[in-house]
Amino acid sequence: MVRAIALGGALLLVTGGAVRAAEPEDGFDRAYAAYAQGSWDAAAEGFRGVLRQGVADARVEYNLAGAEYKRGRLGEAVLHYERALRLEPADPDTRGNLALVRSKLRDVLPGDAGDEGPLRWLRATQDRLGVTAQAIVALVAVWAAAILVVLGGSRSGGFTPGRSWLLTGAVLLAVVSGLSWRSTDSRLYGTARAVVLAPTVEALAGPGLENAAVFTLHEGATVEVRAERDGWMQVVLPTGASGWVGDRAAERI
Amino acid sequence: MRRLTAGILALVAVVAFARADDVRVSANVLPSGRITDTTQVRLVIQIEGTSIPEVSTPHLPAMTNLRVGTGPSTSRNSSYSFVNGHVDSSNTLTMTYVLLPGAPGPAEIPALDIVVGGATYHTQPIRFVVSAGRSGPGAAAAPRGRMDDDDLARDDDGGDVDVSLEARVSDKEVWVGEPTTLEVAIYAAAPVVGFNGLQPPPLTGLWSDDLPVDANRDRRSETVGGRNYAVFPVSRKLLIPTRPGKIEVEPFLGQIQVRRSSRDPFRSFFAIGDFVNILRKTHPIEITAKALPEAGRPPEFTGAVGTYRMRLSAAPSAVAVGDAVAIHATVEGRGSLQGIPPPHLASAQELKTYDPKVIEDERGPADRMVAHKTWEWIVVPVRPGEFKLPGVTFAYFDPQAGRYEVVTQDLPVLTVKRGEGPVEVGTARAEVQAAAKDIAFAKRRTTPLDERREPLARRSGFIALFAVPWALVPIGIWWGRRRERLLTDTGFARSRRAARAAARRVAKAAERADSSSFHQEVAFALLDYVADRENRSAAGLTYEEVDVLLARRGVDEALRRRYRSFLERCDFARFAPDAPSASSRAEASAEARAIITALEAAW
Repeated sequence: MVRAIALGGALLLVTGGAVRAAEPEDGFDRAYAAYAQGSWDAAAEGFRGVLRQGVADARVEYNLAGAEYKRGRLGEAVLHYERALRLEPADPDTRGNLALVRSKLRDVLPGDAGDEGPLRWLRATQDRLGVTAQAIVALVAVWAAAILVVLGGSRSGGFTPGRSWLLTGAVLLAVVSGLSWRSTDSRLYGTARAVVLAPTVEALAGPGLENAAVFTLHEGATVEVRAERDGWMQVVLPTGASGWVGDRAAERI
Repeated sequence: MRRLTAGILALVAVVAFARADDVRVSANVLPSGRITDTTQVRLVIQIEGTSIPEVSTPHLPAMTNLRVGTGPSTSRNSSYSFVNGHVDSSNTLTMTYVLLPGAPGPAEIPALDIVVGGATYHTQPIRFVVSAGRSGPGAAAAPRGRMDDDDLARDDDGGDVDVSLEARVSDKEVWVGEPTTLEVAIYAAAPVVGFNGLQPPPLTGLWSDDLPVDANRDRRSETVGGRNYAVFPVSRKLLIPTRPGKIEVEPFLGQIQVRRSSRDPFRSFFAIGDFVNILRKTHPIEITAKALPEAGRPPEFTGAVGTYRMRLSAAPSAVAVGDAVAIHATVEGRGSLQGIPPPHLASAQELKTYDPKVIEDERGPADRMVAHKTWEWIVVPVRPGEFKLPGVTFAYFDPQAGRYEVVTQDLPVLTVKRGEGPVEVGTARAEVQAAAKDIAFAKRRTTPLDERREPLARRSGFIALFAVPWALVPIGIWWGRRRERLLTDTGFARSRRAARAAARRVAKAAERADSSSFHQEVAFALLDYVADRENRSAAGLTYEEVDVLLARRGVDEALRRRYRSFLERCDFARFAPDAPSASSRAEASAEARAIITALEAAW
């Protein structure tokens, strides 16, 4: 009896674990097959199902964005390409596709074209390294600096010229990588942004229909979210203009 | 009158169906008065109830003579009432669409299906009549009836505002392929605050291209019907008929924000007005496109209409076999060369001719009617000799003269020397051209998918790792300095190790078989402990000297006496012949360890 219970439990563990682990991947493969056959509706629904299973993977967001683009839903495409970029900031396909989708949007907002010159290079480098790698470099540099301080301070004459240069280098590396890490983190995750999903939405001067329209946004426009209240979202344009839209008209990235 | 009454009743038609719960759904349109084809109609859907479950955004069916401008925008309201100590609550969800009427005539919004909490509610169809709104400049329309303050603050028809949208073309009768310019401008006798965009109609039968326009730079004044108007051009297009016959340019629709003077004398005196968004349409325009004559059409004619001239050049004039020669043909003049194929290049057996490509396609910066286009052919001689390069012929239709013109130019003689090696006569070479733009394809899965979790760099445990080394730095420095002192300061090292060395010695003494050597070893352990502590030799150290040293270190008298008493007992036992029992040796060892511990604490 005990053996039977143990065997059943082990079987449940193995099969249950296998099913749980395989489900999102199976869903992804089915959705990918639908995409390859041009069944955009089925592909989009399939990739959405994968996301609902607790997956946060840039490939799923990227493919979902592609399927939505093929369905003509440019707002959803921008939203999911942006989410893919948060997970894989340096992916050239995602950046290229997002630029193409943005070129088809009705609203042209400052900043959509991206950065220029050294800033562009800096951000591209930060994105290639990724937030985690920059954070690990900063951590290693901090530990190295601390070890060098211990080695130098624990004996008389411990701060030799070589050790001093190493300590300076470690401190500089810690500061630079730490600042870069924080700025990348802030750029990717710090600012709340939203993408307009409704074909057209009027931004009002306040959270209520009784307020005057201050500007009009169209599907796919990416705006900063400053506040949310009673089903309304205060959005800010790169020009500084702000207005309130219904929170069903836009979705946070 | 009866029709008007029926129309008004239909406008405010409210449908309320109560299902299992107390949810009520209604739909109506605003404004409730006259609606013209330049009015922004608001379709307001209200869902009321004690509590409103999930509401899905309704799908608007195809409407008659209406299309969706914007929406839906949503809002929620809650109200509470206290009656006899009883609290009643009511919630209202409002969804608003902005609809744009098409043309004067009947309009209908079919019944809407609203899904509230899984149940479907239906509204009744709404029908009303759209009348002709304001179009084109002229005397202001007669003021409407009484207008609420609320109406003044909102978008309305603005029929009493003398602002209009006008479209004009430079030529209403042109040949097929002959360009004409279209200008859409605001005619304003009231202050215009902003322009919120123009909705152009589908330009069927016309090829169009936008021309640059700056409303402020190009503004002018015009007098129409004895009244002065400020004219702001908002759009200019180059229109080219692509088929003969009557072509109608349908009305352009634009939303203009104006400041309407206030009826309040105070606000009027200080030029404070109300801002209104008004819709305006242009008149339709009819363009007559004449068909190009068949008579006299040259075979080289490819569709160019205008007045042109051509320049031709070839370089270099002397080459080796297999070397490339570039032939450039530039056509420029008044007209449009958009989509016009290259001129005709005569063929020559001595030359391998590659497909031409356009290397310049420009139009005049101010007057876009001026066209300038250059084609390039690459030709490669396949045998040596002297050849006459082929001539180029360009044919066009001159709309002023009403006849076809043919321009032919010849090129100079080309001298070809014998080259080295065989001549490669393959397929035409060309740069890789993008056929169309599309997104990159979907990504395959080669590794397992990532689960949703906090990134490593944002976890609190990871952040704490930055503080750990700085907490360990003081400990590390203290440990390093102590280690260095142990290595370099013999006295310090002896002092720090004295207790451990004495304890080890006492323990080792227990292994001695005879009583004499056991007690000697224990006594020496205690004496050496003091000598190590004081960093001096134990040789010659008397009990009195030890007592003085202990007293100097602050050891109390009781402990000093206990120490000396123990040493004397050991001396007595060393010279006493009786062998002590095992228990008394263990007792002595324990006493020695206890004294060392007490001295260590008191030092």
